[in-house]
This record gives sequence, structure tokens and C-alpha cells, in this order.
Amino acid sequence: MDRWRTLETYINYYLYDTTTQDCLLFGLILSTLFLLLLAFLFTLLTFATRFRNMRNDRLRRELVSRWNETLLDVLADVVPEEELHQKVRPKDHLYFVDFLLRHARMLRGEEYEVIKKLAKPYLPTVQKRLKFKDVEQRARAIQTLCELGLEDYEEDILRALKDPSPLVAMMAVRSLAACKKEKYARLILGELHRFDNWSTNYLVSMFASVGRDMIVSLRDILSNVNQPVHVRVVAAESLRELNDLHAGDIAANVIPENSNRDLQAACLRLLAQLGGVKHVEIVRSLAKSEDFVLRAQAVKALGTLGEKKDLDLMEEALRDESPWVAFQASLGLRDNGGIDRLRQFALSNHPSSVFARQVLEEGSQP
Amino acid sequence: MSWFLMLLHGINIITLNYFIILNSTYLVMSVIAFFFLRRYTNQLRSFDMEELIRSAGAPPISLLVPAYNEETTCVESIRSLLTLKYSELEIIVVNDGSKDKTLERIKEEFELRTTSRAPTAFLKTKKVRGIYQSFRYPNMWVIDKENGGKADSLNVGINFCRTPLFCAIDADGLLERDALLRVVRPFLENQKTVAVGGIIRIVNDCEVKAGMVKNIRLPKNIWARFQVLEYLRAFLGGRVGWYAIRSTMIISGAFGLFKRSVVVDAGGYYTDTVGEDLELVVRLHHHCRKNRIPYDIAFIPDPIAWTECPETLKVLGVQRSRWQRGLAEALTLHLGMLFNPRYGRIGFFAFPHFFFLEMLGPLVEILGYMSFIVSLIMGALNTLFVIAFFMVAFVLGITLSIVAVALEEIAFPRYPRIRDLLHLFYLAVIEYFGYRQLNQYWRFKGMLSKLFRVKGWGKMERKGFSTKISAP
Repeated sequence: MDRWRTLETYINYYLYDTTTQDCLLFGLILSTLFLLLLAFLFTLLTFATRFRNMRNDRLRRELVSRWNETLLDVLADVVPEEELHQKVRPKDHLYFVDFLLRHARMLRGEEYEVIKKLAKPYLPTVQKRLKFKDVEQRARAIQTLCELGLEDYEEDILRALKDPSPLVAMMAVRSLAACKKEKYARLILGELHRFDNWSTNYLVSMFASVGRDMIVSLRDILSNVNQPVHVRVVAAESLRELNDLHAGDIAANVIPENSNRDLQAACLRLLAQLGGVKHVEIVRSLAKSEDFVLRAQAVKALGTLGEKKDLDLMEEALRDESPWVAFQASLGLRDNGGIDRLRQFALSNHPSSVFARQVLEEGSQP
Repeated sequence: MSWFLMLLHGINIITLNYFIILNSTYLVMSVIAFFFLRRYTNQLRSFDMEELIRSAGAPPISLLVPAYNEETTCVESIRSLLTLKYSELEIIVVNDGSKDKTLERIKEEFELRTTSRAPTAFLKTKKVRGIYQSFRYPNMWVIDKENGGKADSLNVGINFCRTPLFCAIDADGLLERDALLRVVRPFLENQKTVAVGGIIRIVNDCEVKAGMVKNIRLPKNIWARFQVLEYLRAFLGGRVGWYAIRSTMIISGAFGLFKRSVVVDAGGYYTDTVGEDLELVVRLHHHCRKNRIPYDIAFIPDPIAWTECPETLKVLGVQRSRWQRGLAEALTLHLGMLFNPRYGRIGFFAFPHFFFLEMLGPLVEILGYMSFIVSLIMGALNTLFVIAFFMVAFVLGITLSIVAVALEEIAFPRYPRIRDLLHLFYLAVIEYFGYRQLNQYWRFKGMLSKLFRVKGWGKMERKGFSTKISAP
């Protein structure tokens, strides 16, 4: 009964108390006005954005068409560079740099050098943006300076490797990696530990793109037990991408030294591609690992490195509970002289026989 | 005061509080989304994202396309998928025992031949009847299976997926050419990413040319137009906002990219619900938190999938009821997450929002409407107060829609005609007179069907894309 009374008091307070009601009403009216203002502001913002974008698009189209024609003449050495510079108003400097950047990406050799020369007077404006608080602006400035003025702004770019923002540092690493110069290789790899969030594939693809200048540093990283595992994984995968034949020995030493699954799997992948007969024993030791990822990678490696006696092991792996191991075993048997065993297994009723059939079918395709 | 009057007032007060909390959340989410989108678009403008992604080792992706009775749109959809910009891509179409000529049309168009393909996972599914590979496009596969629903088809796709990532899409959807390049980015930037959702937009009456959406315009049909506004609100306001506070609870079944191994470990799609997309995301949170797996579930607004929306009230009603039922089914399955400290902000913010406000919302709102009317008839409410309350409700609804349109314009404007923009504002105003109430009624029906354990998806009629030239 008391509860009902409390509820009634509450409802009375909420709905019939004059002061409360007035307050509520006032609050509602105020909210309506505030929301109306908000709606009005956003409507204004929408149309302002639309008209601004339309105007900017039109202006930029005009600028580009004006610059394009002269740029082609400059590249063809028909008119002097000054003629193009005269067409760039101070307020369009940054947009002009963007315009040149787009062309720089499509050009090589002498023409690329002309573009860089054209951009030079405007790059101090870009350099100023390195001091901006906005991370994206700094990242963009680094990318531009690296592509159009690496020689003049090398110090700024190298300093950006230590930028507190990982995005800016990554942009500096990427830009320097794209230069494919030996002197940057070690510096870039020195920053690798900062990118533990980034995908391994992404980093590997970037480092491998630098080329063989990276190899010595990558080998050092892979063999260094003090380096973080993530960094060593990237080093192992990059060495595999770069087809470094000496990396096999390092990988074979790393496997017993470190029990981390990702690192061992990366080393096995490296051995599968670049290993030799002397590494078979270490690979065999992992073919019966409790971890299916390592078993699959080991069986894959055996498929390329293995000897005749490994065919039994691979045949056994066909019956593995993990489909990944069974699939790798099927591939290994096919490529390693065990095709008769594979055919026989394909005819069986074993659930994994479907892998054998698939591998045989894929092998018979043109 | 009589008990009836007290009950009426009680309901009115609950409705009022529900309304304040729900709309405040929407408004806060929209404001958060506004700041997030501004930063995000700056980031996209600041450097050449495509160059960044294309030059990197982007992981291979399998596109899983469940198809059930999709004979009108399947060929066009698959053609558009074949033109996607992505280096390592496999397309796996799963024919879910279609009763029409879906399989025949695909067979004929893409020169399928029977082949073997071994599964890589063993999620429980309906029986697979046949596996085909396209002779013309070797990266295109078709798996024909017994009918088991969309979730079952996706599980079959996952079982046969060989790539580290899979992308679940609808057979009647169209992905923009660079959608995969864009949606994969969070996986490159953050190793912890296990799932990413992209935005869904409405394709009705847009011109589709060679599998690409050209000449984008608002649909002619009024119901489809309302849905354009709803989608903008839901994706640009809601989902972006929730992602900005790292609490993504939904990745649309029409376009989501997932890490295969984590989904397999979590048990794949749950087949006994119509809200399998929401359920999977909630389960991924559950799975990763329970097993202490560091993870991130992202939503990004630049990868776009286009989809055809219903144009009749009947079909729209069925769809909305089904969505509501799916929501209720998925949330009640994971009730243990509600206010559970183990699930962090998901357990304390996102889950309660979806549970109390989105799932129970229609019940409260319908009850509130009835109670308000009765209270007014009985003269138990202050008329001035009622008018003021409805004014706030009305203006807030319009504001939320206008913010969504503004977000679209600021971030990724797609409607080039000023006329369309004006029309979106007009829709924001008239939506409140009837459409919103209808929507609540359908959602209310959806809740009832959950309570009475109704099953099935209902029928979705498709008219196909307004195609010009279809050759890729």
C-alpha cells in the first residue's frame, strides 16, 4: 500500500505540481528552440558545404585546365618554366603542389626531374605544415616532401621517423622505403618496433619493395633474440619475399631458439621457399607439432624440401584432423613424387580424400 | 487517484523518459559522428589512400554471396563483383536451394563446370549438392546446397573459404569498385581487427551500368525515399557514432568483412535467427572478450554497397518486422552481456541501448501512443504540456534527419542534384506524419512475432536494377 502511495506522490509531483509542471514546460520549449536552432544550423551547413564544394570543383577544374596545357609545353621544352609559375597565384600554391604531385606519380626520368624543379619554390609552404597539430596534415606534408623534394628536406623527413604520431612516422617510413635507397634501409628498420599494430603483410610488402639493400639488416633483426617477436616475424617474411638464400640457416637456428608460434611459422614458410636439405631435420621435428598451424607449415615445407622417406610422413598427414594440414600434405605428395599414393587416397572414403581429389583436379587443369 | 489513472500516468512518464533517453542518445551519437566524419574525411583527403592500400600486401578475400531466388538480379550482381578492384579475390556464390532459375541462370552465364573443392572448416550446415567453378572466371565458384536460410548459406561459404578474410554480401547488392580496397584498410592498420562493416545505400531508380551505379538519384517511390533518409540516419549518424566510441554492435549482412579464423572459432553464423548479422557481431564480442583475444570491430563509411529496398508497404512491413525479430532474437541470446563488467563499454552502453531502447522501444512507444490518447480523452493531461512535448518530439526527429543529411554532404555526398537534397529535407519533415508510426507498428509486430516464436524471412520482391549496358 505504501508503495502505491509513494508512486502516487511521485506522479502528483511530476504532473500536478505547478512548479514542476512549469519547469517541465519551460524545459520543453527551450529544447524545441534549441533543436530548431540546431536544425537550422545543420541545414545551413549542408547548403554551405554543397555550394562551397561546387565552387571549389569549378575553380579547380579551371586551374587544372589552365596549368595542364602549360605544363605539357614545359615538359616538351616549348615554353620556359616561368610561364607556368606566373599562372600560380599565391593562394593556389598548395593546390599547385598537389597538381604536380599527381603528375610526378605518372612520370619518370627527366620529366620527373622537371616536375620536382617546378615544385621547388612552393615546398617551403608544405614544410611549414610539418609543424601543424593536425596529424593528417603532417602526414600529407611528409609524403609530398618525400616525393618532390627528398634531397632538400631529407632532415625533416628523417625527423618525422620519430614523430609522436605513428601515422606520420609510417608515412615517413613508406615514403623513404619508396625511394629504395640503401642509406635509409637501416633507419627504416630501426622504427619497425613502432608499428606492431600494422598488418604483417603490409609491412613485409613495404620492406620487400625496397629491394636487396634491406637484406643484411633484416638478417640481423631475424637472428637478434632481443628484438620483439613481431619485428622478427616481419624480418623473416621480408627475407622470404626477397628470396635471400642465406636466410634459411638463420631461420633454422631461430626455430629451436624461440617457441613463439608466429615466428616459428614464419621461419617454416621461409624454409619452404628457400631452405635446403640440411634444414629438413628441423622441419620434420615440427611436422608432428601439437599446433596445427606449425604442422601445416612444416608439411608444406616438407613438400618442397623433403626426401623420399618423408612421403610416409606426408601420407600420414593426409589423415590429419586439420584440413589445412591435410591440404598441404596433398600438395606435398603431388609435388614430391607421391602422386600414386595421392591417387590411391583420393579413391578412399576418408573425409580428407576430398583434398586429394581437389589437388589432383587442380593439377590436371591447364 | 484511481489505479487506472495511475497506470496511465505511469506509462506516460515511462514513455516520456524513454523518449528523452532514446533521442538524446541519437543526438549525441550524431554529434560524435559529425566530429568523427570530419576527421575521417580529412584523413582520406590528406593522402592517397588507394595508393597506400594497393601498394601494400592486401590479404586475399573471399566474397560470400548467398543467393535464394535471385534470378532477376544475380547475374548482374555477380558481373559487378567480377569487376571489383582487388588483387586476390575469390567469389563464392552459395545457391541456397533456390526454387526459381537462379542456378540455371548463373550456370548459363558463367559457364560453370562441376569440380571438387575441399572444406577448410566444418561448421554444421545443410547438405551441399554440388560445387561448380566458372570456366570463364576461375576465381568464381558456385556451391549448390539444400535450402537452409541465409546464415546456413554463409556457413557453407565459410566452410569452403580458403582466404584469411571473407566478405559477406547480399546477392542482390552491388559493391562499388573500390569498396574492398577501402573496407580492408582497418585490417592493414590494426592487426586486432576481426570485422569491418561498410555503408549500405539504396540503389532504387539509380542507373546501373556494367555493374556500376551511375547517375545516382533519389528513388521515385515515396517509401523508398523514406528509406534513403533512414539509411543515412542509421549508418552515418548511428553506426559511425557507435564506432567512434568503439562499440560497434551491428555489421550489416549486406556488406561486412570478417577474419575467417575468428568467425570459425566463434562457431560461424547462428542459423536459428533472422538477425544472423547482428548476432554474429555480438557473439564476436562475446567470444573475444571471453577468450581474452585483443580485437577491434570497425565500421567505416567510405566503402559502399548498394542495395534494392522494398517499394510497397506490405514488403517493407515484413522486412521491418523481421529486422525487429532478428534484433530481439540476437539480443536475448546474449542477455548475459547486459550490464556485465566483463564486456566493458559494450556491456554497459551499446548492449543496454539496443536492448532497452531499440528492442523494447516499439512496445513502449505503441503503449505510450495509446496511453496518451486515452489520457487526453479523459482530460488527465495538460494540453499545453502535450503540445509542447510533441513539438520537441517533432523538431528532434527533423533535427536528427537533417544532421544525417548534413553528415552525408560533409563526408561523402552522393546525390549531385540540389533537387534531391531539398527533397531529403522535405522528407525529414513529412516522415513524422505517419511513416514513423507505421514503422513502430511494424517493429511492434516484429516483437510480437518474437514472443510467439514465428519463424521464416517473408517474401522480398525485387524488380532488378535499372540497367543500361550489362557487359563488363
